[in-house]
Amino acid sequence: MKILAFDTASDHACVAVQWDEAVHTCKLQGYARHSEHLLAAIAQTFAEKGLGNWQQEIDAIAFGAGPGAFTGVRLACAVAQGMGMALGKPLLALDALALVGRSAYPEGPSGCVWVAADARMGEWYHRWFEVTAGGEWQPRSEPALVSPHSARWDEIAIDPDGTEFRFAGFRLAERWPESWPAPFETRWIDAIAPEALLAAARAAAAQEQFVAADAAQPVYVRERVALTLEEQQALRAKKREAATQSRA
Amino acid sequence: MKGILAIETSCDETGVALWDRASGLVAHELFSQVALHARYGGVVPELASRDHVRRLPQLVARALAQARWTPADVDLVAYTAGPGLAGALLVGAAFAESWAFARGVPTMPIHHLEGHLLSPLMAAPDLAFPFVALLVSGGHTQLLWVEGVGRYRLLGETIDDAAGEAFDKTAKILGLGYPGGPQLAKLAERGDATRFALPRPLIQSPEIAFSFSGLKTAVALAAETVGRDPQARADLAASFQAAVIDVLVAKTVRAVELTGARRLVAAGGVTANARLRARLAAELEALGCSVVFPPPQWCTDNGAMIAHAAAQRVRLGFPVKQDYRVTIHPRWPLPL
Repeated sequence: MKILAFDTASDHACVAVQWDEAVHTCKLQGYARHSEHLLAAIAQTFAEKGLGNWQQEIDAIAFGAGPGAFTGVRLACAVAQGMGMALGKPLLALDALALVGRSAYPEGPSGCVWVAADARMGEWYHRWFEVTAGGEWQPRSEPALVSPHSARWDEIAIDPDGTEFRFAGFRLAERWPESWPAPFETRWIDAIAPEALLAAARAAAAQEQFVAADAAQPVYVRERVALTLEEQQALRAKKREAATQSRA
Repeated sequence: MKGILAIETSCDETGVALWDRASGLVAHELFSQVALHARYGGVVPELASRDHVRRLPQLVARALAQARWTPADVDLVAYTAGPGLAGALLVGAAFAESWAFARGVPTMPIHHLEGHLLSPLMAAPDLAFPFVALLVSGGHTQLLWVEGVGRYRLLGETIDDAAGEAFDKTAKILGLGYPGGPQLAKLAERGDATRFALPRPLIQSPEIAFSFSGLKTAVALAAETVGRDPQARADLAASFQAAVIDVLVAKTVRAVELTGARRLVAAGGVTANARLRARLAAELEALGCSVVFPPPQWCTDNGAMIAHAAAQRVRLGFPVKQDYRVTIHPRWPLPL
């Protein structure tokens, strides 16, 4: 299997290539704009390994599809779409929270792992995974948003009575609420590991999760990004009312 | 290898075109996001970006099928690199550069307004340079002296709102739907343009400059006196439209007189306004200056104008890009 994989959803983007048994990686560290350096990093990775004919030989292009920073996941998706359509190659859309989990627990301990990543606005993206004895990361919930200050544990947990779970966190600004049970192991990561990216890509390919380039999409989770006209009017009315009351 | 794949994603329209070097435009696809943004009363940049990444590859696939091209037929990828919404531009630029990188072909970033101002040449390829170009849209109001492809001199522009923006904001004040410009023009058709004495900002000034924010404020004040009276609302719409057209025409006349131009090209979404077209044609032709408008289908944003601009640049030997850096210019002055 020959796969090109990349992720641009965080400050440290990465590129990884699975070329049959060989693995090649490249981290883009210290760049403010992944968009200007991603394709050069891919070219460099192929060139350094002498893979001049990669366009013909590659089997699939994998990308970190989110949830994560909107611009970052969209960049990865648009790059994958452009390359995939130009070459007629399928894509693999990789769940960003699984990438966090795999980066934090590369040894793949069996059991439940709860993964959370910063979603700004006081919220986390989160998802539960069951890691099998064979090291497969099987999602047990849909990716979702949670506010750690207001959510109850029984609303979040897939097994509220069970407390045996590991936790993987990615750049969380909010603290762990005291009312939640403590995980028996917690690991924090600062960047997606290229090895985790490839492990997820290999797993997706093994399960034949290929999508056509014109069907691949980012995963945002946060769907409400603007106020409708009615909501804008209601907000203005509320502000007017508050101003009237404060004057009174 | 046959020609150019062109991509436009600068605002709320996803445009794709294929341009054959021998026969010109062979396919174009356009998806307008108007319905998506209507419930928000204006373009929501994040939603615009999301829709571009959803539609763009599908439109490219349809254009390829329409022209019976394969990806191997594309020997240059052109795309709008600015000005526009950063997130929206990034989708088109990333797709375009990645396609080109994978196929080993060059790219050509195109200025959105150059696409607009050269678009009348698609229908009138014999149109001779030089000419004055009036670019008037929701994001821009400019007069330029155009000596040739890539040879532009700014004569003047708006110091605040664009004319199309003023149309949209006034429509919002009047409670009209989005996009407001066409709806305001429709309402104005049954209004009395002399009922409200609205200002014509800078109309007496000898300089070529536009200002529409004061006019918008005057409309907001007048609207408070109008209430729900349908005739009064139509009169206010007509008065506003007349004020904008008076200013646009007066400054265009001034630009033509200053330059001695024999031709005017008017482009951008606002030039779809029938009254503006009629006034420009009447007043400039009286001065011996012919007026050229792009066909209505090329007045809105579209991929064909980007393909056309790239084809002109290639024909004249302008350099192509092959560094595969995804670089966008959300703010990009036109005299390049």
